[in-house]
Amino acid sequence: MSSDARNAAYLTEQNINIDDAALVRQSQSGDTAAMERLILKYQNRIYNTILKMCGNADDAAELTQETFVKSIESIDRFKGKSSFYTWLFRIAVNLTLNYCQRGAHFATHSLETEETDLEGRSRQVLKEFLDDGRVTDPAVLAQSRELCDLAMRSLLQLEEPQRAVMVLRDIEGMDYTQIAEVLNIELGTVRSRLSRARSRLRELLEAMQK
Amino acid sequence: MKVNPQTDELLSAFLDGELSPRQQTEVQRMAAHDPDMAQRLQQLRGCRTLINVLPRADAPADLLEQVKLSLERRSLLEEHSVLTSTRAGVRHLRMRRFLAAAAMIALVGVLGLVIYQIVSPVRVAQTPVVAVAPVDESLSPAPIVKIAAGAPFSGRLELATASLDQVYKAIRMNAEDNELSCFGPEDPAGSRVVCRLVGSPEKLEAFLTGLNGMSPYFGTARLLVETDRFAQPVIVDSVTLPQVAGLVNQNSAESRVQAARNMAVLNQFAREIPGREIQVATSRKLNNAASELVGTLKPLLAQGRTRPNGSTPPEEGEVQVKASLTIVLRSAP
Repeated sequence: MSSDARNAAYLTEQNINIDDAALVRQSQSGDTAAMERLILKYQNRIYNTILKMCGNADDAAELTQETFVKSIESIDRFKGKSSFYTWLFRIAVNLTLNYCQRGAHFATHSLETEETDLEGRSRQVLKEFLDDGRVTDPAVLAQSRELCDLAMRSLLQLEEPQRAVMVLRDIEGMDYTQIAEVLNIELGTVRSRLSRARSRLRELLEAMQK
Repeated sequence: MKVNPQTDELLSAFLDGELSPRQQTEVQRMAAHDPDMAQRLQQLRGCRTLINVLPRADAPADLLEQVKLSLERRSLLEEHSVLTSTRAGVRHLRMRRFLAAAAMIALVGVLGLVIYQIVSPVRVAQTPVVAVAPVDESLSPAPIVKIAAGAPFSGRLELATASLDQVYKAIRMNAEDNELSCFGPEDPAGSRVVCRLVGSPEKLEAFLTGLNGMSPYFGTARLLVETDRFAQPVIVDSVTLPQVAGLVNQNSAESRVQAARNMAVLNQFAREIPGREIQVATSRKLNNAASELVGTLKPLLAQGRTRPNGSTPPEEGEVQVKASLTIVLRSAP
């Protein structure tokens, strides 16, 4: 299965065929079943986004839980000016960014301790990826566990704003407008920040390979 | 390859499909003709893909349950918080009410005291008591009250008696015994006799004390105490000789006049209120009690001090002030 197909399946699987607005209205009227359906609908996407931002499964689970608790507690204040999807992700990203700022050491520390272990096959795979522009087939990349690990470590080395915009775009698949809504920034800022993030990621990977 | 941030931004947006169709075409055209740009586009695409293919993780299976539990815990905590704050609020409210009530009571008390002091009548004893200076021989000799010069006692005592001759003789004898100058006829003639006694206040006081034994022979008695206002004496009706003695011994004109006025009021009470009578206090304790009960009568006779007849003579250099008492005797049936 190709990466796009896998993404599509993932998103479709999670897209329970019920309008968010209807579920939100029911939740606002106290329908706990509707709340549960909203949680089930978004829990994996929220968790995955948070995990890619913070890099720790336990923290991601806790932050995901906190995201839904907060969203349920404040669902009455949701006026529908934005979509529930971006509103929910705004809560998740804000919580995660705050969390990362409080404990910003974890990602850097993790990378520094493992940096010396980069040798052998990992170095070789990374060199091929960087040198051979043709190695962009998602299926090939996905098969390389070493490369995925390196990608994750590089991602965690990005500054949090750049990491957030890259995760929302390249992992969650949001468009620029949605990212702007979630992060509450200008559209142009999304564009420039994402470009810098990709450029910086490339630099980090090149630095690892040396 | 030199990296151009603006070109990177354009290429990145191109990869994301965020350019307009015209810009998309333009970038495609540029990449086709510029190998560096094509290479950079390939690098950025590689980065994008690398992140995109990162394995997706599923949320923990018990996430929903954890969310529910967390909500329940928070709900309980909020309830506890509300309860706690409510209890604290009740305690605070009770304390405020208590303090407000205490403050109100204190305020009312203070106001009541102030009002009472302003409007309360002068306390008068159920039985008016006239305190007369006690005759207490056991006491150590008291200093002689020096009457200020220019403030000697001067008054007129009007007595009605059925035994005019007898009383007049007693007067003269007492005056002589007490070394008082007596200006008056030796033998009374007619129904009215006037005599004037002059001497020191002590001697005059002793005279009055000695004459007190004749009180049963007196009918009405009136004392006119002269004041600094001409022809405006203080009149004390139903006066007794001890009262007169007390006035004679006052050491200032002011206190004497005030005492005479108080005495007039007391005697008025004694006459007009049935069942009331003036009691003569003969002990120091009673004198103090009378002072407390009568209040304004305090200065009346409190400083009075009698000295037995012929006791300590005036010291050398002491200014001798002459008191005078004019006695008008008239016969009455």
